[in-house]
Amino acid sequence: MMLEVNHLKTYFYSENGINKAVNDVSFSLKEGETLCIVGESGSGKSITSLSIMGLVDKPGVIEGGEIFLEGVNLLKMSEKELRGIRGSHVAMIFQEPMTSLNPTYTVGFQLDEVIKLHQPTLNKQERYSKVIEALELVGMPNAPEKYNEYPFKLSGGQRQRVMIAMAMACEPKLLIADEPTTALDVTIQAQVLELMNKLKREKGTSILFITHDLGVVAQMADHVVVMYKGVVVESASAKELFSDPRHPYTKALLGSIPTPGHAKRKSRLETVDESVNYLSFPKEIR
Amino acid sequence: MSESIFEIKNLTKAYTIKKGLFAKPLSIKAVNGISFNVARGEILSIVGESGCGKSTTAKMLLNIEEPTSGSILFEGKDIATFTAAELKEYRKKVQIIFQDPYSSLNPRWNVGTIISEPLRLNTNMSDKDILDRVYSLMKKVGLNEEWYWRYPHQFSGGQRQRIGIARALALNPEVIVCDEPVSALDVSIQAQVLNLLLDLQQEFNLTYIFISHDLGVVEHISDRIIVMYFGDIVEQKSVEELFEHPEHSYTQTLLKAIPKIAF
Amino acid sequence: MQNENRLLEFIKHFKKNKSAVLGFFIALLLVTFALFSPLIAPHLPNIQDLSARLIPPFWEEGGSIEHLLGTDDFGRDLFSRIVYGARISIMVGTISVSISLFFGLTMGVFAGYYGKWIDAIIMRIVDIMLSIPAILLAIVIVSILGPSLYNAMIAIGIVGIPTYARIVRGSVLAEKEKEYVIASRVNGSNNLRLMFKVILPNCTTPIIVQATMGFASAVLEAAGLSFLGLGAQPPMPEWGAMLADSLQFITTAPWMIFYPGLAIFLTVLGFNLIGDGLMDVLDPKLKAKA
Repeated sequence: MMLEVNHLKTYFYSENGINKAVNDVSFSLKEGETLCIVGESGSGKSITSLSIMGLVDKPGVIEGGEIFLEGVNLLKMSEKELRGIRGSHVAMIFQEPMTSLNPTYTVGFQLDEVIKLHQPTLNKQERYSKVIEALELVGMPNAPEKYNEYPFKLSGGQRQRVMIAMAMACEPKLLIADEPTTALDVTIQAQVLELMNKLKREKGTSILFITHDLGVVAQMADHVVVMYKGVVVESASAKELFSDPRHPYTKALLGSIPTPGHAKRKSRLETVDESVNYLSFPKEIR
Repeated sequence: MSESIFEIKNLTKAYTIKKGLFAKPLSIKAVNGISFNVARGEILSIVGESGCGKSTTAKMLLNIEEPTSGSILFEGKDIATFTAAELKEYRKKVQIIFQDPYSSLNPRWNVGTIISEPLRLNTNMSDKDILDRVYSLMKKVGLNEEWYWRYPHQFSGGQRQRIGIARALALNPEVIVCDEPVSALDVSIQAQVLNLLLDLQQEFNLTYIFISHDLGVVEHISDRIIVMYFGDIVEQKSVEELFEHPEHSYTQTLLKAIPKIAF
Repeated sequence: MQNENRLLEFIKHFKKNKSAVLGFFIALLLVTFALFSPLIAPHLPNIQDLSARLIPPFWEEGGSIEHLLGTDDFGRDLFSRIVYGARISIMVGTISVSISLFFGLTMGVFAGYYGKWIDAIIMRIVDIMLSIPAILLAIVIVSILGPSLYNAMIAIGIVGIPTYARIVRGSVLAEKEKEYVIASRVNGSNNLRLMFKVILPNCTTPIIVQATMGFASAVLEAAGLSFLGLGAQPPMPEWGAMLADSLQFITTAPWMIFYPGLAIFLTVLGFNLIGDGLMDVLDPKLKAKA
């Protein structure tokens, strides 16, 4: 098992009370597979991924549970040990590639830094060829030329590629992607998704993919976890989930997407009914 | 086809960019001589990716941006030649719904002030009539009347979008330009807003010009679709035609790129 | 009504900031002194009593309860002068901040809203004003207009203009591209309405903060000018002027210099603390998370 999360609880404390952002969440990700966590805003999906990376900041507190990365409990690790794990075993890509890249350094410099950190034995020449290799792997056109470019000169899709190149440069076993394509155009999104699938196939990287977009889920996932208000309401293989959704919330969510080719045009879409307490239904964990 | 409410001819918008004091000004065409008609009562979608010129087109239709060349005829008359009185009338008939429910409502105004602004600026209605009208608009879009005094930050994204819709409806418009009205919303909220937009269109026989990048939404809501790519219209046809027989290679790429839910 | 809730919420947040509350009470004390000076002060500020010259504060040897903080070289009651001085300080702060605010606001809104050459001209004027040290500019203005408290207030007001102009311009630039402004424009708002009714209310936070801090620095600058003899003239009970008068008695009657100085210090501190507190409470980014 690549990643196993058991009974994770992440709470946020404020004067208005406790917000149980992640409330007893369990799932596991097999080696070389892609697990998608899908949910709407406030479902706790992003807090879950931040908890795994040990990046939850005050007033957020991990109140309980276990997070095993290849059998090692991350929650029992010191900050220093965690830092070693981040980047070497686990890498993360965020939604907004512009804010995640340092605008004052060239793309090549930043990639070089990452490689220097993880493979200190390499010399300058070797690192350079590693960087170029990484950029070519993510399908960056004119990689040697892009080495000396600054992030703002790149398009959104190219920046996201750099982020993925950076994440992949340290050859992580697990890649956590939090809404990596939400800010991108559909054609670019298709390319980035294809790229991630290629990396999974060729390098055997396990992917934890956080998204609100069920279309993207269908494209990427081996297994899907549906979150709602901090709770996993349904967990199933992608095939099962889309062909036979069981939890009422999942059904409502699926019914609310107008899908090309599927939807009856101009018909009323199903909606998530705010008056229904979806948490009262039994959870569907398969 | 029924009567055209808009006729757009050779519409062009060029921006000049000067790099440095002595550099030659560079002209960039955001919209490159596009022509299309909008029929009364139809939902016409303009789709394309960022930078294709769809939002600039919307702004020109709303008379916020001036075209570099070309003409926009509204009910047969060029909007560039409108007198002040005609412009006022035009404003009543053509309204807009914005993408971002957070920046499209003035944070310092309460809901009542926001929805009543078009009425105060464009009609001579009494305060009492305005209040009644605002209440009925709020009810129409599914907002609780008691929320009249609340401020935007007290609402969720979906509710804010409803406030924006109520404001657009205030003057009984004929056309509403919807600039990505659901792309900032959660899918389930998006579905509610789409349902509302379709209901309102039916009830008031509205014409929508629907700007979007989401082909799923566009297929669901449109009668006709215009595909834009780098300032040009590459394809325009009925929704069935477009999805079944996309001709232009860009349209085909676009359709292929949509993640499909199919198992 | 909703407005009241907002106020309550504001008070709730403000109350949590201890130093801001302290500042608030200092300001409250100052305002009380100013409003009720005849009631609070045991003597009139300018009544001389040469038989009671240089009396120390009451707890010191030779002091009397009649003159709480002692008297000065003309036998005027120091406490009463400080109490009446609060009136002058509040007036100085209010008037000079109003002057800076009025011109700075107008300039900033026009520069930010219209941009292009209007912006260029206004901001160059602002740059020129900023390039001259504030107190020097004030001295120049006062020496042209002649030394008096009113001219000092005008000078301080003018010196403050660039700060407000810059702050307002910055916020207007950020706000004017937002969609709610376009929405108002589509509905037929004219430029003036857009500038002052639609956009400006959304720029108030930094303005309020700056005005509070500006109040403090106006009091300080007025005291400075008066100290130099360019502001309030004797026998006006202005704190800075009182300091200047007491210089020659610094060794024999130190209370004469200490208490007016303390009054200036507390006033400046109080308004700066409020300003800091307001910045914390009104910051919309922090508020949006709540």
